Parts: sequence; structure tokens; C-alpha cells
Amino acid sequence: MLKILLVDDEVDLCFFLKKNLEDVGGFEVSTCSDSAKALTLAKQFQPDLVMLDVLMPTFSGPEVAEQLRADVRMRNTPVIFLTAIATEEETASKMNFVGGQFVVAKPVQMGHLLEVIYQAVKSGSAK
Amino acid sequence: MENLIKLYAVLLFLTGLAFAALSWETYQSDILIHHPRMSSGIVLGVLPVLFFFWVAGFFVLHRRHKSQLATEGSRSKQMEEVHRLKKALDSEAVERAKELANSAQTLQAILEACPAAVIVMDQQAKVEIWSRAAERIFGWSAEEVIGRELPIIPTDQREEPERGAQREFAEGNSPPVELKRLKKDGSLVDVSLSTAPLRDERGEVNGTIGIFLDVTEHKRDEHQRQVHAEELQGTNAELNRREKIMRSLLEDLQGSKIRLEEQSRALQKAYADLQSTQAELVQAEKIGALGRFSSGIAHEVKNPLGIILGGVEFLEKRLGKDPDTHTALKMMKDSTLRADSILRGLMQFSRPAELKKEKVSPEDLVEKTIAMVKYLAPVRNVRIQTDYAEKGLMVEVDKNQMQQVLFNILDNAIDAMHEGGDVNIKIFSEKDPDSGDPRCIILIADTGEGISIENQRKLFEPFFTTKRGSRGTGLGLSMARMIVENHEGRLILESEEGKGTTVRITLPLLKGGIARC
Repeated sequence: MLKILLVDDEVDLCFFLKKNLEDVGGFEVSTCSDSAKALTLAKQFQPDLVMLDVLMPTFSGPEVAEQLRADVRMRNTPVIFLTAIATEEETASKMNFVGGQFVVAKPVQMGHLLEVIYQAVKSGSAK
Repeated sequence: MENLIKLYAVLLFLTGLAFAALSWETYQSDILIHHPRMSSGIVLGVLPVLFFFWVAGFFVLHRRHKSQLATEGSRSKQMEEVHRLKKALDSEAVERAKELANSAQTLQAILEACPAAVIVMDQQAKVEIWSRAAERIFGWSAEEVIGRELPIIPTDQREEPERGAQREFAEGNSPPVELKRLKKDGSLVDVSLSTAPLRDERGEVNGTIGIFLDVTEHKRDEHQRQVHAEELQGTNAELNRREKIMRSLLEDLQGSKIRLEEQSRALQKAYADLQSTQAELVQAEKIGALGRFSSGIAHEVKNPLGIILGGVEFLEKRLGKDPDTHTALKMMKDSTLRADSILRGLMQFSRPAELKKEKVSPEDLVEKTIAMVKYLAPVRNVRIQTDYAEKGLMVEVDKNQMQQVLFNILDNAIDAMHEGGDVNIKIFSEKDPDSGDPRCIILIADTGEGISIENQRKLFEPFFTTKRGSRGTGLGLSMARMIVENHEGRLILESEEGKGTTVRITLPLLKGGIARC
């Protein structure tokens, strides 16, 4: 079962995304709404894939990603950024791969998210 | 004769007297008879014969005397006539002489008064008349020159004095000639000479008259006139030069004026452009500000939307089996996505999406857009007509974005024709009036209700919509314009209420594409 760590300061969003990912994809999802605790949780949870909100208090999504990459065990763990800054058109036009990162625009539609997860896992396992 | 007759009469009287005395003596004393030397018979016989002859002679003489007297009378009459005539002639002659004297005096007076020197030469080229003016002009008195050669011919022309004189007094009337002539003091004087021949009663030339006019003053005047004329010419030339300068200045001024007018026009245009640019800038700034603002809002709104969407999707999974619940959740999800699409539109103002340009034919773009409304148009009784006069035009655009633009405009056009109508689409190329670059023009004209001037001003403002209910977001046209401008193109809308609206999209024509301009 694919383990996904979801970091977003929106607690409610985390709740529904977790439920939906579990219901639709059958993934094991752990959520964290405090970016400062994300690294610790990741080290404990050891996810196969990390989903990060971009704009968060304390640490932004990219900063969290940096911290994760600093850890040898999570250096190659695929990361998907969830963002309300970029529009779906923008992210979709780049195949959700912006600046070397997988990006999914909010609000997240499950069908679309599942596709990106599939791509991200595929690219992660290729490494 | 008369004296002879008188003598004859005296002799006759004496003879008669002697005869009477003799007769009386004879008769008284008979002397005769007793005279020894003669007989009285002879005396008486001879004496009457003698007397007869004496008387006859007397009569003959007397008659002759009478006829002579008559002849002499007529002659004396003739003589009287002759005398009278002579007298008359004499008085005539006196009269003539007087007249002549008068004429001579008149002539003399004329000669005296004439300001020109009058010189008359005889056939031997000797001076005959030398007028007062000649004295004054040349300096010689009449006494000094009359009967001599003309002294006024300058020394260098005197080699052949006769010829000189002949030249001076050429035969026949001659037009005035201007010469230099010598004065007594050795200086030269400018004269104008006119000559004419003098003829005797037989008409033969016996002299020449020359009239010399002192033209020194005239010459001086002429010289001065010439000087003045030259000065005048100089002044004139100067004036001409100045006029030329003025004219060239005027031309320059006119040129400058024209340039100024051109510049003024250019300035006016630039000003108008500036105003329009300023308005556009203000608009762009407003939109930009709005975009940034919207972007901020969008970010904040997107998260709740995400939660709603996540919640709906969660419920769909859990409760979706009941058809009504499923429909309700579907409507909630659609609305959430629509709200999201509005946000996406808003966010594009601050961050225009990157263009994915590719070479396409504008005809293809239009055709694909028409295909999107092909089910809608017939329902609204709208006919779409296309005119692709120029084939093979190519543009480099983001196909999806440009189709979005065209769809928006076409959708608006159809919406504007509630009673149906025509949409005419034309594609052609032309040169940009400013840069001269080839441009592709897409004209979309409808025969709809048109747009009021008031609404035309707000058309490109975000969120402005006349579409009631949920149909319009108010972002379509403003986004369309932004997309076109991102393609370095222009979107202009012209509309007249009741007649329809024409949207003109100008895009750069691809350089590799055919540009028939």
C-alpha cells in the first residue's frame, strides 16, 4: 500500500483529501497541518510520496521538500506540490511538472490528482 | 516835231506876213510892176504857188503833227501806266525789302536766340554764318571765323580738313550725330550735329547748314542717369537678391510650416495615442491591481473551494448511490468548479499563462471555433458565413487561447441576436499602418442588437456583463483582449445600436506565411 504524507495548513482540506485518497486510491495517508513538524513526521512515517502545499506558515512547501531531500532515506521520494497560486491551466500545460516538480493546482480533483500520483510514483521508482 | 511844227507855223506866218506886205505894197504902189528885177505877174503867179505849198506843207505837217500828237498821247498814257506800274513795283519792292529786312531780322533774331550753334558753310567749306550760340559754345567770335575754315574739328581729325568739313556737313539731311568738337580754349565739347544742304534758286547745293547742340549737360545728365541706372540696377539686383533670400526664407518658412503642421498632426496623433495608451495603462494598471488582488483572493478562496470539492467528492463516494443525493452532489461539484474557473480567470490577469505558440492557419482556428457552436447557432436561427479571400495565411498563436478568444466573440455574437441573424467572418491580410509589418485580420461581424456607447466603455472591464443570471462571468471579452495582446495583436470592437457589432482581431502575420499585402 502506497504511503502518502500530506502536508497542508488547511486542516479540513487535509481531512477530505485523506478520506478521498484512502477511499478512491486505497492509499495509506498521513496528514500534517504544521509544516514545522513535517520533517519529523516524515522520518517516522517514511512515505512513498509526499504531497506539499506551497504556501504555508513557518515553512513553505519547497522548504519542506528541501528538508526532506537532506535526509538520505527520502532523497528520492517523489513530491507533489499542491498550490492555489498556479491555475490548473498553467500546471496542466506543463504536464504538472513545473521547474522539475510535480504541481497540482487547487482545488484538487481526485481524478486528476490520481493521474499525477501515478506519474510521480513512476518517475520516483525510475530513479 | 512839235518844235518843227511851231517853227513851221512861225515861218508860215512870217511868209504870209511877207506875202501880205508885198501884196499890200504892190497894190498900193505897184512896185512889183515897176520893179526892175521882177515882173508883178511872176510875183503874183509864183507867190500863191509858194503859198499853196507852204499851206499844204503846213497842213501836211500839221496833220502829221496831229497824228504824231495822238501817238504821243497814247504813248504818254502808256508811259503813265508804266510809271504807275513802276511806282507800284517800287512800293512793292520797298515792301518786299521791308519784309526781307524783317525776315532777315527775324532770322537774325532766331539765330541770336537759338540755343544751338548755327553754322553755314559755303561750297568752299568756308564759314558764312556763325551764330551767337556758336560763339558761346565754341568760343570763337563770328569775325574770327567767317570766311575761314571750320576751326572746331579736333586736331586728330584735321589731316584732311576738306573731308573733315565735308564729313561735318554731309550732303543732304542727316539724323543728329553726337560728336566731340574743339573749343577755342582747346577743350572738347560734346555736341549733337544735324545738317541740311542749302540750295540756290536753281535747286543746286551752294552751301550747308549745321546745327550744333551742346549736349555736355545732357551727356552729364545721361552719365548721371547711367550712374543712377547702374546704382538702380545694383539696388535692383540687391533687391532681387534679398527677394530671393526672402522667397527662399518664405519657402523655408512654408516648409517649416508644413513640417510644423505635420509635426503638430503627429503630435496630436501621438497625444491621442498617449491618451489612449494612458487610458489603456490606467485600465491595465487597474486590471493589474485587480489581478493581484484577485490572485490573493483566489488563493484564499481556492483553499475553501478545495475543501468543498474534497468534501463533495468524499460524499459522492459515501452517499452517491442515492440518485437525488448524487445529483445534488454533482450540482455542488459543478458549482464549485465554476467558482474555481472564475478564480482561474481572475488569476490570469496577474499572471498571463505562458503561450504555447504553434503555426496555425487562422481559417482552421475559425472553423474549429465554428464547430463548437454549430449546434447552438441553428437553434438561435443564426447563420455563420465565412469569407476567406486570402488562402494560405499563417499565424503563430496559442491555439487553445486563441480559440477561447474566438469562441467568446462568437458566443457573444450569437447571444446578441435573439431574433436570429448573420455572423460574417472575414480573414485577410494588410500592412500595419504604423510599422508596415504584415498583419492578419479576423473580422467577426454580427447583425445583432449592438452595444450602447455607455456599455462599450465598460466592455473590457473585468466582471462587466449584460448577460443575466449565470451565463456571464464578465471576464470573457477582457480576457479575449488580454490574450490577443499577449500575442502582440489587437482586439477592437465597433458597435452601433440596432445595427450590430464588429470585432476586429489583428495578429502578426507569420513571416514564413504568405503575406499578400
